Parts: sequence; structure tokens; C-alpha cells
Amino acid sequence: MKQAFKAHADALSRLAAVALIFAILILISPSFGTITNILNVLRISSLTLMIATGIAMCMLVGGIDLSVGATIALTSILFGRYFQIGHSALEMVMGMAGILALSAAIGASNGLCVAYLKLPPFLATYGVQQIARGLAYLLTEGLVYSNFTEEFKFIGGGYALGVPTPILFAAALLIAIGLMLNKTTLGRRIYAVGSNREAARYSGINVKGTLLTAYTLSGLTAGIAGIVYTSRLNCAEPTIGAEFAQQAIAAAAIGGISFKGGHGNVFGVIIGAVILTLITNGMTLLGIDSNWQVGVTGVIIILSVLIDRNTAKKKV
Amino acid sequence: MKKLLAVLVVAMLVVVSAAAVAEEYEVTLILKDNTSAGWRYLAAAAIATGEEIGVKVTENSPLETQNADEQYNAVLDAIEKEVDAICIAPVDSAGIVPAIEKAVEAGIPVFTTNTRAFVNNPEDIVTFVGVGNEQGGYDIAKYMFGLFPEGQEINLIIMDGNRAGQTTLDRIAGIERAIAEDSRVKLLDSQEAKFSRAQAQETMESFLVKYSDIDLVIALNDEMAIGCYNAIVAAGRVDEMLISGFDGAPEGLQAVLDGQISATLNQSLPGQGSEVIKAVKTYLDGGELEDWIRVGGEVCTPENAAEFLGRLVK
Repeated sequence: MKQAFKAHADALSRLAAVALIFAILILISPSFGTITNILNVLRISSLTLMIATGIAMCMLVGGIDLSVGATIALTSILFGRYFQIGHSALEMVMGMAGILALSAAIGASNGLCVAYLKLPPFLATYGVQQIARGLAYLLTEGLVYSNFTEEFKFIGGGYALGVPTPILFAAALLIAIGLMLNKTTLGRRIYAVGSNREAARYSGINVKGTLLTAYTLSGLTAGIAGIVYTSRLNCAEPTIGAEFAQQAIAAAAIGGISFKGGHGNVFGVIIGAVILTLITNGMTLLGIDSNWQVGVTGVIIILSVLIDRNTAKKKV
Repeated sequence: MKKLLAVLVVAMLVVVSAAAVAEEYEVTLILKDNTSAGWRYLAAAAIATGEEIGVKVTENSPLETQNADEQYNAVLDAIEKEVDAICIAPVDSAGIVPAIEKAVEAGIPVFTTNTRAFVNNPEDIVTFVGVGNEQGGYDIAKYMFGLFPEGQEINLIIMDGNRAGQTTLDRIAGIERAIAEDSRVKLLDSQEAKFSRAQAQETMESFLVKYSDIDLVIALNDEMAIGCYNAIVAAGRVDEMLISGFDGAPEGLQAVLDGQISATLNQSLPGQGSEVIKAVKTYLDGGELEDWIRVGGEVCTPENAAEFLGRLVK
């Protein structure tokens, strides 16, 4: 029992942090504890969660993906421009599949740059981000795209079994990727490559292929997030997502995914995403100016990375 | 040989007269971004009017919305190019002033449209073309308050814009003036959502949780009003409150016609575009101008929204 507790001390301490923040907020603002608000917080954090799940894979292989926000913007504009009302359900599904394939391709291009061209992940994904964002702006042509079918709006704005749909999508995505990382050989390879790339190579692991896969999956999750987000906003905008990459990286870091690679459980990302949203949501409920919220979030990120580093030291 | 000479002379005359006619004024137009729809209407009208009256309008707006730095650089670029005039809708009414002063020093007249600049010397701006934002804020707030019965408390949320810009400050001043005149109104909360639909939607979601009784949401532009509407619909509280926007952009007018929002204020964005270019021509030709050329200012309601929309969508 004691051993199990020690092993999961990391996760438990994070859960404790969430519970503490939650308790403080309920004390300050009673309306915080209602089911409506909890679902609200989960729904807003589900977007960060989806993107963070993808970025977590890049971080686990010792890299990073800054292009997710731009991928979301491009996905949003492509769908908004070409699949408004007037298309059959089949056309829209095929369109979505095509757009998701494109977002995976953007991820793959990141992977190619990192794995085969050996570019630093920060720079490679930054460059791809600029290209994707530029394409999104070009395709917008200054128009607003917001004429979507009710079925599409359901993806981001509906309820199933009383739970908002974005939460369900995020949960499904997290479970799928969590299972992949913890139960499949691909998952083991990702951890191995992240922990020690040379050792992984000597033990016969296809390092380049693993890197490519991780980045491709990150792009794909960004595409999924983009479709859900476009549905929720009921509008396609080229400017969205500028801060998504930072938020997702913060969520992953707070959730225990190490920047060095090879360490961290992707399920911890839920904690990170929820903590970030609790802070923003909590500050709005407390009436704190939105301009302050940005700064406070930054402080939380630094604190959690410091705590993470100290916990890691103690373990060794 | 004679024929060839005649043809050459005629050709030269045509070229010379074409060059003389082609001598048009060059103007740089700097808006708050070059992607969102609202500014497109202004830019399109400016360019079209320019074509009609012999003013070559080149737009150099920032890619990223509300980017004051890029606007600053755009003004410096225009000074380098030695254009005949600069027309700008400043993101940061105070921050842009040094750039404007540089332009004036270089002998380039500066015109503002949509949003004023807080210049130290009023002579630095030739004229401002736009709606009276303070009056507009007041008018739309009064209209919305008028939709509620006497004696009923009006719980109000304001979805604020960007307080670096004069438009936001003026609209808030107008709304506050209307609030002061009406004892029914109780201001619950306000937050800056930077004129963004997405940010307004998320902020409204939090407000919907915090406040169980909201009667009215006044948003400082149509995009934010629609974002608030999305949030309210998702929360299932659309019958509880009314929403108003500002701008009179096609999306806003359509939202009024669809019953999603109750009113918006016509900024006449195309009007701003064409009037500012006409003002440039008048000034450069030596004419006199007023300090403020007013456009728009009408409250657009379900009764007249179709008419305003018709004017925009040509």
C-alpha cells in the first residue's frame, strides 16, 4: 500500500493541488461549485486537453510542437470555407477526413524536419507554424465563415448523456493516446527515444520513425481540436490559436510531462489543463481583470516546473 | 516613312496624355488588420472610391489584429515611400502619436478614420472620419434600456473591447452616461474581450456561471455580441436576456434580422472608407475640410436592419 502511494505520489500531489484550488474557489464564489460551472470548466479545458495530449507526445520524445495553434487555424478556415450549409453529411465527413489528413501531414512535416533534417524542434515547428498561419490568412480572404449545419454545431456545442460533447471528444482522445503510450510497443518506443535516444538506437529502435509518428499524431490531434473548436465558436477564424501552443505546453508541463523527454504520464495532462482553466475561470468569477490573468498563468507555470524539478531531484 | 512618323507622334501624344492623366495621389491606408471582415468593407470602399476620383489607395494593415507595433511600422514605411497622404485607424490611440508626428514633420498629411489618435497638437490630424462613438454608445444603450418595462431592474453585463483605443473609451463613456440617467440599470460586470468573438464567448460562459440573473448584455462590437449569443444559447438561457452589438457589420445586421441580437449601431464602415478618401482628395486639391466628418450613427433594429444590410451587400 505504502509502495503504491509512493509510486503515485506525483499524480496524487497534483490531484491535491487541483482539489485545493477548487476548494478555495468555492469558498470565495459559491456559484463555482455548481454542476453547470464544473461542466463549463471541463468544457473549456477540453480544448487545451486535446492539444496538450498531442504536444505531450512530442515532449515525451524530447521535442516540442509550436505549430499546433496554426494547424487549428488552418483546419478551421478550410472547413469553414468549403463545408458550410449546403453540403451533404457524406461530403462533410469526407471533408473532415481530408482536413484531418492535412493536419496529420503538417505534423508529419514537423517530424520530417526534426527526424530526417535534424532541425531543432523549436525552430522547425516555429517555421511550419508561420507557413500554416500564412495559408490560413490567405484562404480567409477577409470573409467571415459561419454558416454551419446543426449537425456540425453539435460536435462542439451539443450535449450527450448530459455532458458537453467537447469533453467527450477530449476524453476519448486522451484514453486512446494514453492506451497507446502505456500499452503498445509504439508507446514504449516513444518513451525509450525520449529517455535516451542513443541507447534506443543501439537497442534497434527505429528512432526516426518514432519521432515522425509522434509529430504526426500531434498534428492530427490539433486537427481534431480545430474541428471541435470551430464547431463551438460556430465560426472559422484565421486568428485563433495564437496562444494555444503555449497553453498546451503549460498544461503538459504542469501535468508532469518533462521537457527533457521520456518522463511523464499523459493522463497527468488532464490535471494541467484543468488547473489552467480553473485559474482563468476563477479569476473571471472573482472579477479580476483579464489583463492580469495572463500574468498569473505565467507565474503558475514557473511554479509548477520548479516543483516538478524538485520532486524529480528527490527521487534520484 | 511619313506614315510611320505620324503614327509615332500620335503614339507619343497618347502616352504623354495618359501619363498626365495617370498623375494621381498616392495614399497609404492603415487599418487594424487585413483579415477580419469589418475592415474589408472599409478598405474595399476606400479603394473603389479612390479609383473613381483618381486616388491610388494602397493598404498596409497588420496581419495580426489589434497589432499596434505593425501599424507604427506601416506609418514609417509610408513616410519612406513619400506618399501624398496617410489614412489610419489606430489600434493604440496614444501609441501611434509619435509615428503620426514623424509623418507630419515629413510633410505628409494624416487622416484618421474609425478611431481617433490622441495627438498632442490637434493640427497634426487633418480630419477624423467616423461615427460619434460616445453618442453611439449612449444611443444604443438608451435604445436597449427602452426595451425593458418601467420599474424593472436591468442587470447589465458589458463585453468591453480594448481600452488602449479611443473607440472603446468613448463607447463606454456613452454607455455610462446612459446608465447614469436610468436608475433601473445595475452594472453587474464587465471584461475586455478585445473585440474577439472567441474571447467574448469564453468570458460570457464564465459570467453565465457567476450571475444567475442577467437581463442585458451590451457588447462593444458585433463579433463579440455574436460570441456572447453563442455562449448564451449553449447555456440554454437565450430567453433570459437581450444582447446588443456595435458596428453595423453584415454579420451583426444579419444577427439582428435573425433575432439573435436586438440592435447594433451603424458605423457605416464603407462610408468611412469612401469619405476619408474623398477628404484626402479635397484636401490635396486645396479644399477646406471640417475637423470631423460624421458618418453613420443610426441604431439598427429589426425594423431597419434589412435596409442597412441591403446598402452593404452590393
